[in-house]
Order: sequence, then structure tokens, then C-alpha cells
Amino acid sequence: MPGKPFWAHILFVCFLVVIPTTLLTPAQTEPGYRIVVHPDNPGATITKKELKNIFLKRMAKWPHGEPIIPVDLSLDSSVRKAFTRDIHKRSTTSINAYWQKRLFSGKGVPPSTFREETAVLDYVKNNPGAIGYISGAGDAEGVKILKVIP
Amino acid sequence: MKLKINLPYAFVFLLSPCFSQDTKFSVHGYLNQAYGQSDRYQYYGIPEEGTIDLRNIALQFNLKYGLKNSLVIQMNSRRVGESPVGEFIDDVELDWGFYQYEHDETLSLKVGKVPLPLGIYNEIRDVGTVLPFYRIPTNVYGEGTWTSETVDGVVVSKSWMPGEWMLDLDLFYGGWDSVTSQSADSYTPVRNEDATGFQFWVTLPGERWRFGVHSHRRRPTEAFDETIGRDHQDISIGSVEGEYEHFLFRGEYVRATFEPEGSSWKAWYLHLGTSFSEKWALNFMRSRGRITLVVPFFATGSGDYDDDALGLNYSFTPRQVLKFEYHRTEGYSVEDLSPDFFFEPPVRLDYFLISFSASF
Repeated sequence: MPGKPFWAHILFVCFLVVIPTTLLTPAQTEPGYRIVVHPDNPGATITKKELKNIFLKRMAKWPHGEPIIPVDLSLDSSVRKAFTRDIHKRSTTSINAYWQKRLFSGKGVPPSTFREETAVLDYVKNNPGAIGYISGAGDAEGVKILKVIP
Repeated sequence: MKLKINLPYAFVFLLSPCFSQDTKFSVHGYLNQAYGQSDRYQYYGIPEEGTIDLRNIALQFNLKYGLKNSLVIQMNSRRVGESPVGEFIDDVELDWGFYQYEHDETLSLKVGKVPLPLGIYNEIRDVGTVLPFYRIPTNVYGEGTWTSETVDGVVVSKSWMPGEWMLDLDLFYGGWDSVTSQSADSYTPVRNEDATGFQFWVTLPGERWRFGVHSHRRRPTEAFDETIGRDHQDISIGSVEGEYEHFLFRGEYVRATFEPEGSSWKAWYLHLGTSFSEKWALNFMRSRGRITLVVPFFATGSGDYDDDALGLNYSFTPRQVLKFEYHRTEGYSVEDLSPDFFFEPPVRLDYFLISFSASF
């Protein structure tokens, strides 16, 4: 295959397929989420920046000194997608890549992941430093809801 | 099957305090398996008749006790096709193993066989699920040559977050084993000592762009030639990475200088990636390298190494990725011809790889 046609094919694919497809990707609707913590947690509000730092494990302790234990929902959860989009301004794929790089370069382990919201609620109820997120509706008995502020 | 574990690293176990009730143990791993075939000659282990013997498997054991102490061990099994580098790789090796003390979330100390902070890819060079192609750019990182995935020694890491900016600094000291080549078909093991260097990253507000600088000096103790690289080698790398919703840009430039004076390796790559859905991604990469070698009282020779690549990736999930990539290369890394850049022109060939990556 001669040199010029090789790159001509690349440009062809780039301009005629990739970019238009990218631009036409529809915006995703974002269902709500609620932030849940242990009932003994003295906080009432939490900022988006704090949430970002907590779930990227850049913030290790609550202001009252308790170690923070963030827990995630699984990657395919629509609630996790909404939370990630709102807090990290990225896709779950991008955040997964971030953690894969951290994990396999020996720099850190991602938060524990649960498939069901009930498992998140049970974990948060039983661990004073835990924080998680659940969908906007449904039972949240036994945990405390933190208000998210910008 | 040979099993190679450097016993001195076992000391990290001995140093470990008794496990408390705060101990957390987790196991992670990845697989990167490929089939490769070239249209002529053999290139980085990929022969004309094709090979499926291209593989990386790793298993990581992570033990964290309390908030500050952790012990991380990663074993790997790596196959590099027909490459002569394979002669120096055991079936199962200790990838890395270290003890980490985290003073707080911004300051940590690692001791043992520690991932070497070098550019964008060095610490994740085999983690297929986060790589755009099967291999990281060989012109900048080598195929297990001239540098190493790890440093046997100490790494101190410090982070700052002034406002929306992020600054990350790694300082390291130690040594490592590598191989170095006289030609594409001949490699010699080298022990590098007294390696001292740093990696510094600046991440701009918004965390879309980051810029990095790496530099180190090391002393090879068993160079392949009595004159070349005998005293010390200096490596510098500049990196830039930009990530948006559907676009990814990466570029790196490496400059290595070694003795005799005037000898150098300079290389760069530019990578543009685009994801046009959650499943599909398209990647382009252009890479160039040039070696200049001064042989005293004889001649100065130079050779160019080019690699252009186009890849299409399909993600079944973010942790299961299938890749197809096509490369056009020209240079002197042809292992069954082993052309000499002092006297011969570069060799051109095309090759492709189909690979599957998974991690957990």
C-alpha cells in the first residue's frame, strides 16, 4: 500500500465518519441521586468539589476526624452515570480509566463497588465514615441524606 | 515454568506490622492477549507468518492496614512473540512489590520494587484496557529496553492543589535491570545503578489538560560496549495530555544522551483518539525516532525509526476491550534482517495486531 493513500484513508474516516458521529451524539438525560452518610455524621451539606475529592480519594477524613469510606455503584448503574456526570463532569468510562491507571500503577485502589442500592444503604448504615449515593426516589431509612451544594 | 522472585523484596513482608482489624485485602488483575502479523520480516517479535504468543497477564495483591500503611505485590507473565528480548523474560515474574507509607493524602513514601514514574505510560505499559494500542509507543518507551517499568529503591510522592490547579511531584532513587541492544537481533542485560530523577505533572483547572516533565540520570554497570554508555546516561521526557468528552490527545518527546559525547536517542509521538460512542474509539498515532551514535576514531552514524498507526477499539464494557490496529513502520528494528544504520537504508514494513484486553 503506498504512503499517501494510507493517510488519505485515515483523513477520510476521520472527517466523514467520526466527527459527524461525535457531533450527533445525543445529550443524555440525568436522573437524580441522593448522597447518603451514616446517621452519626454531623454534617448537613456537602459541596460538589468535596464529593469529587472524596470519590477520587483525594480527601481522606471528615471535618470531625472520621476516616471517609466512599462506596460506588457498579459501572452500568444509571445512578452512577448521573452522579459521575454531575460531580466529575466526565463519563463513567473516563472515571473507570482513571482508577485503572491508579490501580495498576500502584497508586491507589478504587472505592468498593456495590451492584444494588440496598447494599450501599446497608454498608453506610453500618460504617460511621461511609458515604454513598442512591437514586432520587425510594427508601432511605437508617441513613442521613446530605444536601449537595455547588 | 520458571518462577523468578527476587528474595530481597520479601523484606517488605518482614517489615510489615501485625495486621490489625483495619486490614483490607483486595485482588485485581488484567489480561492483554494479541495476534500479530507483518507483511514481511519480523518486527518487535511479530513475524511474517503471524504469532499469537503476545500476551501480558498480571495479578495484583493489595493489602492495606489502617489509613497509612499498605503492601502491594503484582506478579506478571509476559510473552513477546519471537522477539529476542523474550530470552531475558521469565514465564512468571515479580512485576513489582513495595511497602507504602501515606503520611496523608498528599505525601507518600514507597520502598521496594516500585513502579517508575516516567511519562504517561510507563507505569501502565501493559494494562490493555487503558491503552489505545496493544503496545505503548516503542520509540519513546522501548520494548522493555533502555528503561524499566520499576525502580528498586525509593519513590517519594507529593501533591499540591493550589486553587483548581494540581501539581504532582515524584522523586526517586535506585536501580533497575534492563536490556540494551547492539542491533535489532542482539540484546545484552544491563544493570543500572544510582538512578536519580523526578516526574513532575501540572494539571490545569478543569482537569482536561496536564503537562509533565521527567528527567533522570543513571549509571549502567554492564554496558554492551566498553565505550558506549559506560559512565552515565541522561533521559528527559516532556509529556502533554488532553482529554475531552469524545477526544483524547497525547504527545511525548524523549531525549536520551549517552557517551561517547554526541550520541543520543530522540523520539516523539502524537496520538489523537476519538470515541464516537461508549463502545467505539478510533486512534491515530504518528511516531518518529532518531539515533545518533558516535564511534570515536571511526564515524558518526544516524538512523530514523518511523511508526504510523491506525486503530479501532470496541469496548464490550469499560473493562473488556477488543482492538484492531494497523501499523506502517520504517526503520532498523527488523529482527531477522538486523540492518546496520551506519551502512544500510531503513527497512519498511506493515503489520497488524488484533488484541483483547480485560481487567478486574
